[in-house]
Amino acid sequence: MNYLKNHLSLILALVSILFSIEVYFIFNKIVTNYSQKIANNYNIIIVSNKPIKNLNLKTISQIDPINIESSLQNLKQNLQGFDIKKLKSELPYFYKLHFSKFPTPNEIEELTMQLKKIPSIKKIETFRANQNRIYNLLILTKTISIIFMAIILFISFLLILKQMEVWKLEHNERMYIMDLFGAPFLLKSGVLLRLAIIDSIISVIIIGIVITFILNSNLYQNILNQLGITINVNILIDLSLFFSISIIVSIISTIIVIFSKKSKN
Amino acid sequence: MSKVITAKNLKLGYKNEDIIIDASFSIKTGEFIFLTGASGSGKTTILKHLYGELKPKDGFLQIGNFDMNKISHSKLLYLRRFIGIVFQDYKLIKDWTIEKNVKLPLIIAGIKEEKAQKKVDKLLAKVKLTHKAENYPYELSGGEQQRAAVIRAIINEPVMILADEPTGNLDDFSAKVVMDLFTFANQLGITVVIATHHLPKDFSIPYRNIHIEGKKLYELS
Repeated sequence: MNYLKNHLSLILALVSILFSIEVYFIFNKIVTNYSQKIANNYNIIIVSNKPIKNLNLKTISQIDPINIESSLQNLKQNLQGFDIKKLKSELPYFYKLHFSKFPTPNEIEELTMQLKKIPSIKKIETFRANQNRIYNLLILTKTISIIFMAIILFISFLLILKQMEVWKLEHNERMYIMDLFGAPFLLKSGVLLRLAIIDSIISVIIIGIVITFILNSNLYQNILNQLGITINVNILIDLSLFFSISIIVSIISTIIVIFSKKSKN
Repeated sequence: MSKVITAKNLKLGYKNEDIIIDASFSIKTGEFIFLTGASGSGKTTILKHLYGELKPKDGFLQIGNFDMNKISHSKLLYLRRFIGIVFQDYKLIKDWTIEKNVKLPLIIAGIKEEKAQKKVDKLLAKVKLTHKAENYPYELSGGEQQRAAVIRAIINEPVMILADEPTGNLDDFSAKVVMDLFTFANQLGITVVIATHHLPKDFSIPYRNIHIEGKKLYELS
């Protein structure tokens, strides 16, 4: 029981840290992926007097002429004596501008200004209101995930500090006695370092199980299906990263305990 | 005989308090020293300086070849491997067995397990604690714990043993057993410095008595 108590606080703190980081990673991937999806669907429509082949604007990935043939055919069917050739020759050119990534409202603003400087362009339709709403929603989602991560990290940090105090009380006397007999650093701190490494491994295993469960859950899959995106999470890479993070955090905590003991003496 | 401790014009104490002033003495290899004085006279303070927990406020203190005023932490750890320390409250590691506690200096010295185990077994037998080898300190009486603490100090045959009121918590019989162990260590050539209120009765081997009074040290004959 005592052994469990010894480990639980640090494991809990480490699991919280790793979980919040993983949640941030997943949120980030979802937002990036969804942004890309929206970027693929989102475009600006421009009307020009002259044909346009290239605009040389870095945010624009592609320019597609809008095929108005079907609209004209509809008109022809509805209106008697409609001269489609004459109308075609008088109509301007319609284009859809595609983006390389989901643009920010500022980027849209800037692009509009640049397009207005081109004399042949008569009309620009950005659908800005709709775009702003989606963009703000994405930013809000991202911000919430960062705030969530920051809060969890802060609470976990407090938990680790508390655990360090417990460790200090538990191990101070042993380390002091070993110090009196001239034990080197590694021998003196061996128990704590072993605790730290074991706790890191346990934390990574727990977080591995939790992530696997979440990624395979119906709720998570339904959300991705509804958003129409797929997220690739390489669990092995994430776990390696988490193992490094938890080892670093726990060893730094251990070293702080050891050195605070040393300075106290 | 070479000098183990050399002290010249020492001033010892804490930040705002001088405990010992103008102390000069030397202790040679193989000597048996009783450091006597009333409670609070500074016996523990002197020992703390001898094992490097405190640094002298002034004067010169040399242990072996190490100047204790300038010694670094790593060198202090090295020096401590040649000093055995015994406390009134035993200072055994609570969650280690008696056997492991006794073995500590050998683990620190990097002695091979087999050789270390033989030494531990031999000394535990000498102090009649073989049957308690696997027990934890709290399962032993005060006298037994102190016997374990003394053989821990002796086991790696240090140059010097420093003992702070080692019999202070013990009954007469246990105190005698512990003092016999110090005599045994001294006969091995180990310098022994014991801080105590009173000199033991019927002490059979030659010794020196350094007495503390009024912050000063006096050699009593």
